[in-house]
Amino acid sequence: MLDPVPTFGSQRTTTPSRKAGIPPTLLWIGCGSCSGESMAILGVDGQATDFLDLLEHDGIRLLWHPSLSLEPLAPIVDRVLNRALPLTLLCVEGSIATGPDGTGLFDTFDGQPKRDLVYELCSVADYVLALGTCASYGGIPAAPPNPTAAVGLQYADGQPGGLLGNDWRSRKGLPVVNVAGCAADSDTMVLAMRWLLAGDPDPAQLDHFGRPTFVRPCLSGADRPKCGTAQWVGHSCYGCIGQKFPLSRELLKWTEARKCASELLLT
Amino acid sequence: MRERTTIDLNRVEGDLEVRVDVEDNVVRDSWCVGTMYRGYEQVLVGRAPSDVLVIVPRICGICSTAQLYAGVRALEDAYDIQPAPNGVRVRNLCLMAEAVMNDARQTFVMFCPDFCHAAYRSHPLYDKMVTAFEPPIKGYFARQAVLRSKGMLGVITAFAGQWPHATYMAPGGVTCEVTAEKLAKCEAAIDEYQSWYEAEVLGCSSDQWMGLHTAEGFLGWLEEHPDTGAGLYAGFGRSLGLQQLGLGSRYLLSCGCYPRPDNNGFLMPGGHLNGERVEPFDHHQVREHTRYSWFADYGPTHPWDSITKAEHGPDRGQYSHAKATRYANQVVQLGPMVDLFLAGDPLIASWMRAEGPNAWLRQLTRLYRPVVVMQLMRQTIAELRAESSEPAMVWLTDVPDDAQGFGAVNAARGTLCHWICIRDGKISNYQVITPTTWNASPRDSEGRRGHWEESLIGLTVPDPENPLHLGHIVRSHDPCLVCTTHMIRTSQRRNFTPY
Repeated sequence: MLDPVPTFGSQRTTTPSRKAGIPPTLLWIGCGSCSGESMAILGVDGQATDFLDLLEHDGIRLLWHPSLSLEPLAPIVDRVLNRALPLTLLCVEGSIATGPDGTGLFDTFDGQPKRDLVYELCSVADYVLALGTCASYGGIPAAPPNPTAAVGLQYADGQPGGLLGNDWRSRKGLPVVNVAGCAADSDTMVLAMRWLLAGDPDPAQLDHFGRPTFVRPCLSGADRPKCGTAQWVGHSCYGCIGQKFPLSRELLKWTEARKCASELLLT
Repeated sequence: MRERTTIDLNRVEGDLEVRVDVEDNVVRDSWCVGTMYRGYEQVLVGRAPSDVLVIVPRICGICSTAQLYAGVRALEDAYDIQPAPNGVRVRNLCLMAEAVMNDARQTFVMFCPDFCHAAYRSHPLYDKMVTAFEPPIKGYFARQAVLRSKGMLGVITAFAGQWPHATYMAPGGVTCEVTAEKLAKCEAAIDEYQSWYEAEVLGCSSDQWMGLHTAEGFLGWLEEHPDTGAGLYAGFGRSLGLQQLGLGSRYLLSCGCYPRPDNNGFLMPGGHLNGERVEPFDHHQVREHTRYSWFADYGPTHPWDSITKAEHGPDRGQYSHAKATRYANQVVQLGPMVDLFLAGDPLIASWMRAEGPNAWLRQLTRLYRPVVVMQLMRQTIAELRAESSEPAMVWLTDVPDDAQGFGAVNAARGTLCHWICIRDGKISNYQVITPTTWNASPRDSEGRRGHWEESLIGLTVPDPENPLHLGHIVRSHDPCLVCTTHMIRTSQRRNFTPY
C-alpha cells in the first residue's frame, strides 16, 4: 500500500515581521472556485499541516476568509485598500471571470466585477498566491468553450498574461506564486506560505509556470516524484489537470482504467 | 417607508447576496442572488462521457464525492448497467464520511460563530458561545471540528488517495482496490471520531442519543447536557427563538439516502411530502423556470429538454443566474432535515410535528445526523468484510453512442440530481440541480418566491445593518452557492439596474 502523501515539512518558522512584533496578515478571497482549496487547507487525513498551524504556530493574523470570518468582506477591503491594514499574503482561490464581453460580471462583489477587486488587492499585497489550478491558470472553467472567459492571475490559455499581465510584480518584487493542483493540497499550500514568510524568497525558485519547486503531481512522493494516481485508483488523469488545464482531449479512458487496475491486482 | 437592503452573506460556501425590502422593521419581500457563475455544463457539452468523472467533482470542493456519485449514477442509468454491490458499498462509505465531516465543519465553524456576534454580548450565555465557537477557528468546538473531521476524511482517502476531487468511481463500481487494511483504517477513523463526538458533542452514548425519539425526550437530554457541543447550540438557538423562524415551504423533497447495494432504491427512503401524503420521488416532475432568470423564457422545462438560449431583454425583472426549479409545480424544500423526516426518523418527525421545518431544527439535524450515519458506516464495513471475495467493479465492455440518463444521491445538503444526454458518443446536454438550487431558487413563471425567499417574509429585522436572524435562517440551510450558480449556459450580461 502506498505511503500517504509525504509531509513536506512541519517546521515552525519564525518570520522577520513576527520578530518585530507585527504579525503577518493573510486575506483569502474566492473567485470562480469550488472552495476546494479552502476545504483542503482546513485539513485532510494524510496531510501534516493545515490552516490551524498557520494561525496558531506561524502567528498569522487572518484578515478575512469567506468560510471562517465573522464579518462580511466589504469593511475589511476598505481598510486594506486604504492601507490602514497591511496585507502580507493575498490568497486567491478560483478562476477570474472576465466575461461576459469583457465586463467581468459573471462574478461580482457588491455589484462590481470581482476581477477588479482582486486586481486592487494584488496591488497592495506583499505577496500574492494563486491557490489551485483555477487561480493559477484558469482551471476547468477555462476549458473550451471557456464560457466565462476565465483566466488565471498571471496566466491564460496556457500562456503568461492573465489578469495581471506577465510583467506584474508584487510589492515585494515577486510574480504570482502558482500553487497549482486541483485541489492544491494543504501541505503544499502551507509550505508556499511559509516560504514567503521566511523572508526574501528567491524568484528563481519558481519554474516557468510560476510554480515553486515543491509543487508536485498528485499522490507523488519525495522518492517517487511522478503522479501516484494510477496506483491509488487504478487509472491516471491524462495531462495532469493539476497542471495547466484546459485540455480539449479525453481525460480518462475505460481501457486505461481497466489496464491499470489489472496491473495493480497482479503486483 | 420601505427600504431595500442588500446583504452580503459569508460563511456560506460561495457567494450569496440577499436583497430584502424592509418596512417597519419587517421583511416584506426578498430576492436571493447567486453572484458567481462558472459554466460547467457548457464545458461538459461535446466531451467524452467519461470526462464526467473528472469534471463533475470539481463543481464543488465540499461535496466533491456527492457530485462524482451523482455523475456516475447518471452514466450507469444511461448505459443501463448495475454496479457491483461492493462498489456501491465503498461509494456509500465515502459519501457518508463526507456528510459527517461537513456537518461538523458547517455547524461549528460556519453556523455557530454567528452566536459570537457583539449584538449578543448581553445574552447570559454569550461568554460560553465565545469560548466554544469564536471565529476564526479559535473557539473550542470550532477547533475540534476542524481537527477531528480531518481524521474522518481518512475514510475517503483510504480509497481515493486524496480529497477533494478524486476519480475512483466509474460506471460499474469503484476502480480502487478494496482491502482488509483499508477497511481497518476506516473503522479506526470512525472509532476515533465517534468517541470524541460522544464525549464532547453529545455527552452521552450514541445509543442513548438514538434513543431520543421525541421532542420531550430531547429537551430532557438538553437539560442534563447544556454544555456539550450539541447542547450549547440547541440551548442558545432556542433562546433566540430560532425554532419559530425560517420555516419556508411545507412541500419537502428527497430522493432518498445512500443507494442500496442491490441498486434497488435507497437505504433510507425518500419521497415527496405533498400535503399529508408522501409520494415517490420521480425526477420527471422536475421543471426549470426561467421567467426571472437571464434566459429565454420557454416556460417550465424538464432538464433533458432544456433549451440553450440567451436573452438580454426585454426586461421582465430578471435577477438571478440560477433557474427556478420546481417539483410537481410546487416550491419545495430540501436538506438533511427533510431527508431524515422522509426516511421516518422518529426524533426529526416529532420535532416537525411540534414546531414545523424551522431554522433551529434544520441546524440541529446536522448535530443529530452524524450518529445515524456512523451506524450506517459500520454496517457497510461489516457487509464489505462479509462479501470480501466479491468484486467492487463490473467493467463495461462497450457503451452506446446515444443514451440519456438520470442520477441522484444525497449530498450533505440534500438531494443532488444530474441529467446527461449522449449523442454520437459525446455529451450533448448535462444538467445539474443541487439541493441549494432548490432552496435558493428565484421566482418562477407564476411569480412564486423560492423556499429561502419565502422563509424570510415576515421576519423582524430590528437593525438592517446587522440582520442577524436573517443570517441564522439562511445559514441553517448550509448553503452551497459554488454548486448552485454553475448553471448558466450562455453569455449573458448581468444587469444590476434597480427593480
